[in-house]
Amino acid sequence: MIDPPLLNKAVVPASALDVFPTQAPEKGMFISLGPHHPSTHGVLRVAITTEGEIVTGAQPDIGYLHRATEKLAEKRTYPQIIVLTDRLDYLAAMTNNWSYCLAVEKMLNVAIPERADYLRMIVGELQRIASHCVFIGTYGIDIGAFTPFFYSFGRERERILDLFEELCGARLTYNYVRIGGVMADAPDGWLDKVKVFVKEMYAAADEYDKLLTYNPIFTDRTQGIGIMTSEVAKAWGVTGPNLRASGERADVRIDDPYGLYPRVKFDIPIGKNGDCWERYKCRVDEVRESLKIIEQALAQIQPGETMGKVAKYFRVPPGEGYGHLEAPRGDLGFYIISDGSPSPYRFHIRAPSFINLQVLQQLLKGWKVADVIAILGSIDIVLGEVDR
Amino acid sequence: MTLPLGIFYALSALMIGFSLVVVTSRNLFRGAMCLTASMGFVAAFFALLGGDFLAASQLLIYVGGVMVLILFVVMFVQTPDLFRARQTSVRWIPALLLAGGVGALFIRAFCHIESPTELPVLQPTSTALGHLLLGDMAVPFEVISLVLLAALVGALVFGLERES
Amino acid sequence: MFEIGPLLIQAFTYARQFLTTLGATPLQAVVGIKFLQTTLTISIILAIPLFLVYAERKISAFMQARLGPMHTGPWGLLQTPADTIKLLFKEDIVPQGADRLLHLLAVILAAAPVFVCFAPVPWGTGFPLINLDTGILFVFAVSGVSTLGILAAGWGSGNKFSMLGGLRGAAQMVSYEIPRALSVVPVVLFYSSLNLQTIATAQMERWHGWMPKWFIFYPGIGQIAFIVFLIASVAETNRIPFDIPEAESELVSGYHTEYSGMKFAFFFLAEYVYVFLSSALVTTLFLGGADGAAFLPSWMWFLGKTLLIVFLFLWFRWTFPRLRVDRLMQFCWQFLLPLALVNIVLTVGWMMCKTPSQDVLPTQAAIPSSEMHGSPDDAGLTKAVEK
Repeated sequence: MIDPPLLNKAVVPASALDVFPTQAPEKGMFISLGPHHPSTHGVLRVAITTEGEIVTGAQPDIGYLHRATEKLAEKRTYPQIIVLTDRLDYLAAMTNNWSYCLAVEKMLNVAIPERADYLRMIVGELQRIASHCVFIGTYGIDIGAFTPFFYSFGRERERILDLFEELCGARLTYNYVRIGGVMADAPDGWLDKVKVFVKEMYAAADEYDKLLTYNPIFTDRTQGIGIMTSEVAKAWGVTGPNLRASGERADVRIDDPYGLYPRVKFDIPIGKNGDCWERYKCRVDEVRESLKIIEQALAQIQPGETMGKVAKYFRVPPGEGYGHLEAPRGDLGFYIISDGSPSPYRFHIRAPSFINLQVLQQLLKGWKVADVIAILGSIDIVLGEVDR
Repeated sequence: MTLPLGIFYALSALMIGFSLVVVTSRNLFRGAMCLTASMGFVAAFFALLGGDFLAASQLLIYVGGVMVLILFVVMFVQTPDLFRARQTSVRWIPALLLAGGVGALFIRAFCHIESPTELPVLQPTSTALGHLLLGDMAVPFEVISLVLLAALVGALVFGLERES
Repeated sequence: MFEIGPLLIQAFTYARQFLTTLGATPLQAVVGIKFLQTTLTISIILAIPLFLVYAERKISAFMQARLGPMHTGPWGLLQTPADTIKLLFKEDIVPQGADRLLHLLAVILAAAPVFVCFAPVPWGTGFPLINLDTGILFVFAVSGVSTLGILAAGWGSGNKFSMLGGLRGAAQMVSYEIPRALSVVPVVLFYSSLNLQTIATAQMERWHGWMPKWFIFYPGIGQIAFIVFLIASVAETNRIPFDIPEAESELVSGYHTEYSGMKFAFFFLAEYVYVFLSSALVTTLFLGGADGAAFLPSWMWFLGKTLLIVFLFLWFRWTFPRLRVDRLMQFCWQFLLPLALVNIVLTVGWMMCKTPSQDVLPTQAAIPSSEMHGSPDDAGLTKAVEK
């Protein structure tokens, strides 16, 4: 069993900060943020050295939520793994399921019925809206505004979760998107309920803008803070709204389309400066774009089959496969090596939050200690994905 | 023993007690808090003599401003070896004799002062003070503000970080 | 109508006469009455946070699309007493590296001064308790003492984060005292008095027979002074948007992290009483005090206006995010302070340009003499001391 300090020394360059320093830094102060902290969005510990008010070094310390998902998957059959994927980014389970199924379906070469694909797109975009609702609420709390949380998380997201519960019986870990299609067809009247929700969500998004986005105190705390240029973002492998806020036009739905995304028209919100406010604004605008996608999908969906021709007990032919999609947090990918048995030989998850988190080592440096919470919150990580 | 005299003795005893703690305590923070209490008692004395504006100003400026700033400094520079510092001077015998002599002189001088034994009739002093400060005593008032300005500028000069 | 003030004056006069018949000298009777008055005042003021905490929880809940406390008692009315009892039973934990005496003293220093500040506030006819000539200065002076409590709380917690939080809180409070005091200077200049009773009664006149002459209605100077005083009061009481010193989700954890049980309750109690005091001051200085139409007694007008300002305080808390510490200080020194100074100049300009027919300044004769000596035992005390 490797000693934690030694482990960090082994993988981190010598000039970086030690996560468990044995003595105080020569100048400045060492602050340990977390793992018990209301603002780290999970069990995350960030070891920060400061000099006066300025942060001179930051090292995220992860692993508090590690559940050995990749190892567990090696002992489960392919349909059983979908349940494991639910629990990675637990705020966006639908897209987790879908990304995994894309990988397996590529290896199996199975055709997805059209209705199933439309349903996947609808629940995927609804999931994106729900995830961004959580972000808006919790980011507001980080900055100190307690009320938007109750609107976005306690009102809108509850509506989405009610829709999902009616659809598949679960509110958080859905296990809905299956290999070859979806678990079940939408019940009668469900699609009309989604239409009603879409109308109300447009109004709610405008309410968030009025309450939080253009609030002078909020913009004062987030504009010009935590600026991430597109070079830095690309160098660290950041994806998702973080990358788009820095000005890069990069979205898996456009670059490497999957499902029926080529059939719908939507825009990708791009930022200019890459500061915290732009990252927040991109997500609020993405909510509106998702609503547009859902409207078009609702108009285009036809009755039909919801599950393709997949055997009950199947083996994936030996080989490797990679499937990825645009999850609410970034580019979520699954890499599977199969050796012909009912379980994968190696199962690796390209978790966007895990990779986005790394940029904090560079992003936090040079900003004030009071900005650490604002920058950390704007990256929008979920520890289930970071630690797997 | 009338009520005002009793109050005066009580206040004096408390004030002298707190001042003694200021001088003898090893804990710098406790000493500063006791100094704050002494300032508060000075305000109480002003109130007892009928100076309502003065008492309120003393509280506002000394207790609420000056002592808070002194406590800031104390909180920043408190180091463990200050606790072990010697509280009394090495040459304490000559110091005690000198202090005793000066104190005896003061007491003799104060005994010869004719002072009223009754407290003055309480009446509001703010208007009178205002007329005085901006009328007869305008020049000393402005000169004092110049002194404060000099102190401000000096503090700024000390506080500026030198770029070497 | 149901004027409490004169009733109280009568009651205390009877009580004093009763004590005299029991064999006390007039001076001892006055001192006894003073004790009774102080106890009564403190008890009534202690009841205010009970109401305010419940109001805050309910109002914040309605603003956040939820209901708030509903289970304990009808509509959750017994929630605050239940919480108080719970806090009373909690273990009082003092950290090992902390100074025990300072840990306790900090609570007292932060909470006690605000009770004293209620003495010169004019609640209506027959009030205030003490007709202090230096009313507003006294209130500012005594409420400044609670800054020391925050410093002592930061120090007495024994850890460097609480100390930093205490320092930040004290710096914020000391900084915002200045625009607060300066924004009141136009009011003092206008009514030529520091006496809160004088300022309140001078606003009881009418323009054109119907528009009340409250200071807030004076064009420009009234509104600027009101806004500066309101913002500075919100900052003084450490409410959002200025609550960095007590924020839990910030990096530096705040000066009352290490307090539990009744000490913690006292900090919060002090904060709510302070909010009520600031609202009462806003009402007295800018909204005419107990001024209002005759169908309600004067103290009800005062209470209503004060509760309106308290609602403003609560509304601010649940609408705005919080300002960052350095921006907070910048806002104070670079915006509020110059604005308050400009307002003083504007007020003096207004006063110098007044026309005699406009009757801008109330003369001494305009204030009825009964209002001047309206405190419950003014006559009694002077007589007793003269004896």
